[in-house]
Amino acid sequence: MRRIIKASMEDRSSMERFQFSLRCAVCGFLWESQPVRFSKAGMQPESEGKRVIFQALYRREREEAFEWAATEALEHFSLCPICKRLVCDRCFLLGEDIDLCTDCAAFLQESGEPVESSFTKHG
Amino acid sequence: MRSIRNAIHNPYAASHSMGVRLLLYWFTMALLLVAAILSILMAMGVLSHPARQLASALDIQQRNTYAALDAQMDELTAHGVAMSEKLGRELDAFLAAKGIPFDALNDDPKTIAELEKRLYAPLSSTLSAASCSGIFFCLNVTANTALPNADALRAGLYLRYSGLQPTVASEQDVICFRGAAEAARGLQIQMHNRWNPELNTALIPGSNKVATSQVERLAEGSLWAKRTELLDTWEHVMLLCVPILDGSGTVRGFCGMEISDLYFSLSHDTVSSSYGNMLTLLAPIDGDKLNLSGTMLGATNGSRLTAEGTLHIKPGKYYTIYTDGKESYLGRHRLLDVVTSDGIPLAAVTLVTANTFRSYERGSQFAWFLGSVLFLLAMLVAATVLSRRFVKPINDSLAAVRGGTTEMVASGISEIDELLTMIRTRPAGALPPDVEARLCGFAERTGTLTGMERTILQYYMDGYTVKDIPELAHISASTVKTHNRNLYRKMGVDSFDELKVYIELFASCGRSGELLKR
Amino acid sequence: MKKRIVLYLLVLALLLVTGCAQKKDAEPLTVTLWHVYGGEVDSPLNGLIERFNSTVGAKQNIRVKVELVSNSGSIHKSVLAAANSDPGAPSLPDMFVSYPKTVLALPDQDILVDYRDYFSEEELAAFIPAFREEGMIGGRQAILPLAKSTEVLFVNRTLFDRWAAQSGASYDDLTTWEGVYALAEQYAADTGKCFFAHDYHFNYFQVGVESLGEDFFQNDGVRFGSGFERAWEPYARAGLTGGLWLHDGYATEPLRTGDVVVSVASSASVLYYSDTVTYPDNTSEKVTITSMPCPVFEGGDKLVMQRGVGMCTVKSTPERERACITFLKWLTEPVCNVEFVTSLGYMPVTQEAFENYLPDAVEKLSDPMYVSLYETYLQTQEAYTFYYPPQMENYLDLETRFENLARLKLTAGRTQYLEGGNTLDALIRETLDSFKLDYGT
Repeated sequence: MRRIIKASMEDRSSMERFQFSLRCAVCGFLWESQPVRFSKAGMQPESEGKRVIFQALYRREREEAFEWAATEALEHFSLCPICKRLVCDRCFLLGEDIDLCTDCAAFLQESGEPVESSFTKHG
Repeated sequence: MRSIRNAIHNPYAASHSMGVRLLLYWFTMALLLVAAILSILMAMGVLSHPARQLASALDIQQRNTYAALDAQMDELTAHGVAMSEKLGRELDAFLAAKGIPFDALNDDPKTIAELEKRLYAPLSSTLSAASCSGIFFCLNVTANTALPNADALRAGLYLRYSGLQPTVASEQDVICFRGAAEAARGLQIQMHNRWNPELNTALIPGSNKVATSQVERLAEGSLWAKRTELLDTWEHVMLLCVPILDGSGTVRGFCGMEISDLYFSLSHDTVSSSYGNMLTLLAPIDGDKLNLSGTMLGATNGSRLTAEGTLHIKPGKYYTIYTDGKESYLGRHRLLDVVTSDGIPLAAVTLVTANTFRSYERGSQFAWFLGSVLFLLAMLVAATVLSRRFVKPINDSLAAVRGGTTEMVASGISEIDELLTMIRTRPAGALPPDVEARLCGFAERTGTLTGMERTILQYYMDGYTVKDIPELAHISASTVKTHNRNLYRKMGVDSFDELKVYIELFASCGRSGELLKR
Repeated sequence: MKKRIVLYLLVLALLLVTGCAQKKDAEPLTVTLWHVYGGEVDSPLNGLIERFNSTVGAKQNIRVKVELVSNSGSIHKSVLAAANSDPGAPSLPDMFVSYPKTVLALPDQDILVDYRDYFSEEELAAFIPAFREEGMIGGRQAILPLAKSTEVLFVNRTLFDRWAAQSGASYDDLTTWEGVYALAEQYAADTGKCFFAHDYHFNYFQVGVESLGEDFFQNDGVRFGSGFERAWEPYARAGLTGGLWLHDGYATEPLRTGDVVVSVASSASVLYYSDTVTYPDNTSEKVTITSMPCPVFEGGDKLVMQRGVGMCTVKSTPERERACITFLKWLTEPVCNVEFVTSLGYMPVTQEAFENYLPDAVEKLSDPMYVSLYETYLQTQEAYTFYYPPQMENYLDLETRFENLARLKLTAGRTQYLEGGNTLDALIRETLDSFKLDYGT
């Protein structure tokens, strides 16, 4: 699951902070991870050596932030067992026999309760 | 087996059943018992050395043999002396009646034959009274002094039992071995196939001494001629020689008895014992050598002893060993008060074949070994049976407790029963009394779960926690939470921990299969 | 656990087996034997038995022990005493030698082993049929032939030649009974001594009468016909005139003392003849004794008595019986059998021994007495028919009474003759009548 989410996340990071996003395949809702500030944000490297170190630090912290973002995303996205798409909690239905996305439920004429009501605010 | 071995190596390990411990205990007791019995038997002498037993058996037999031979030789000497006196008187009377001197008998076969006929009566009566196989007398005269070997030839009569057989003396046929033909025919005695008219004293060892030396008392002058071959026959004999004195005390010849090999073997049968047949020998013993060719052998059933060769004597602690290099014999000997013509003392000897004794020894050792092994086996079986019988009610009782039956099964051991009763009667704290009903209800309620809820419950039963579920089921943590909520409600539990207790209870009773049954 | 138990059991079984084997090794099975071969003389059979004991016997743990060597009459008495459990009687041996008459007189013939139980058809077929048949009693092979003999005439050639030089007597005279008795009468007249001894007067009459074409026996007794009278005449004449030895005992005895010159006896008695004659004055002389076929009546058949005891085995335990049979098979095996019989003056009992081994053995003989005996055997076998006494239960009684009474009558007649009480012819007649009367028919 983590692997699927990581593969689907988009990178929205800048030189100052790291942030990633994931889009629900059904409603198109764009979820964004909590932004994480680069530890050396705003600092200019004094030398070429420092600049190389800054670049290495940046890559490592970005990787950490990516993992965090995946964990965060795991809270809100499920994989539809029918269409194999990632959908948000509002578009994922708990069915009697099987859990599935609203699109598939409509197609298969299955009924179910969504995990989260449409009107609650996205966290 | 392995559990016993473990128990031996590590007796304090907590993991051994009391059955194994008990078996070990019983087995040790059995070994102790065997050891005790063996030592008691040892102390009582039952298990004593077979050699010591043989020694005491030999002692008894040797005493009898010695007494019998001593008595026989004494008796024969007494008979011989009496006969000699009678013959002396008859000789005097005969010569007086004829009016001739003793030496006039030389070269007079007719008178000699007449004299022999007259002397037959004392000879014959002594033969039937004495324990011997033949009887003889000879006088210092010969029918023909002109013969080259006349010195050795002596006129006389020698009667023997023919075809000696193990039966009473009166049944025996008497034949004439030596003596004038006319005398034999006149007396109607059959003649021996190898008959000769006179005795050849050169063939009777030591007879010269008897026939010539002057003696005061007859018994003193008598002598046993060593075992010698009877000319032209297959028999060997020992002869007792007693001098014959005339009225003036002059030695006129000698008389005596014959003991043949056959007679000796018939009259000294083997004595059977657990150590093999005991043989009787009358043997000349010269230092550490027993000369078999000079030995009178009793019956030899069950041995290969023959009257040939020499046995070397080696004294031992319990018995003396007599060996010819090939065959060995064990026994005893004791010198008789008799010396043969060649100056070697005669001894009464009792022998058993070494091989026979050894096989008895092996047999008795084997019997003891077999007996001990069988006893030990029996004790082992008893130990097993007893341990099982002791442990089984306890195990049953414990099994009953484990199985949760409400009925109490007695273990037969008061301490354990008391303990179990105490456990049973203790107020229910750990386990609610309606556990079973709850478990059943729980199992039933799994039927109300949705597909994903069942999947999640299965993950829990497989030991996963809530955190593991999103990854496993590809659903978001919120989805899991929602499912959990529904799951708890449906299953009637308040928390994941409570759910886990149920799952573990089922697992520990081996009843997990009852859950998620459709 | 199970494997271990099996292992223990195997070890125990092994110990048991070896234990038994050692026991067997220790004590030989001793079987006893009563026989007649050799009597008071050193018996060649005893030597053979020693050889058996040290070879085959040692291997099979058997020991044959001679308990009695005697004559057949004494063994007959002892066997009957033992079989009837008479007081003081010995117990029966495992093997004893016997004529059919002894077996017939046994209270129960079933105490004897039937050799057909131990010998195969082929093994029994190896025996000369006539010898084997003699041992068939009541349909059972109760007697096994070991050695056979016949009656022959022994002559002291030294004494005969010495006298023949003066009297003109010839060896041809010794081929007929008439000749023998005539010489006896003449010899007695010349020297005052006896000439002829017969071991079995009963056999002389039995074979003689049969050879003249008459039956000797009648019902349970003797039929005194003309043949008997013809046999009596020269016999009694020699007896009354002192030419016939009338004392008891075997003919070897008077030959040993030079009291007779010629005897008719069992060929097997050759063992007992000595080549020395000892006279009353203690001097002795080396003599030559040879044998000739048994005399016959002029005009009569050439008939001769078949003799020789066989071996009976007493039933006991299978092990003992087998031990006896092992010994007997060894003794009747041709090489051994020939050695046995030639040392005793007997004939072997198997066809193979007779044809393949006897001729070689005879060639090796050195003693002239034995050489002449085997020549006599060959002559007898060529020219004579063998006669077997009938199997009569009272045979022994008839024989014993006959032997005693005939000698007694002639001894009494001889006394009368010496006293000159009657003529010779009258005395011959008188003794015959008296004999017939006392003996009964």
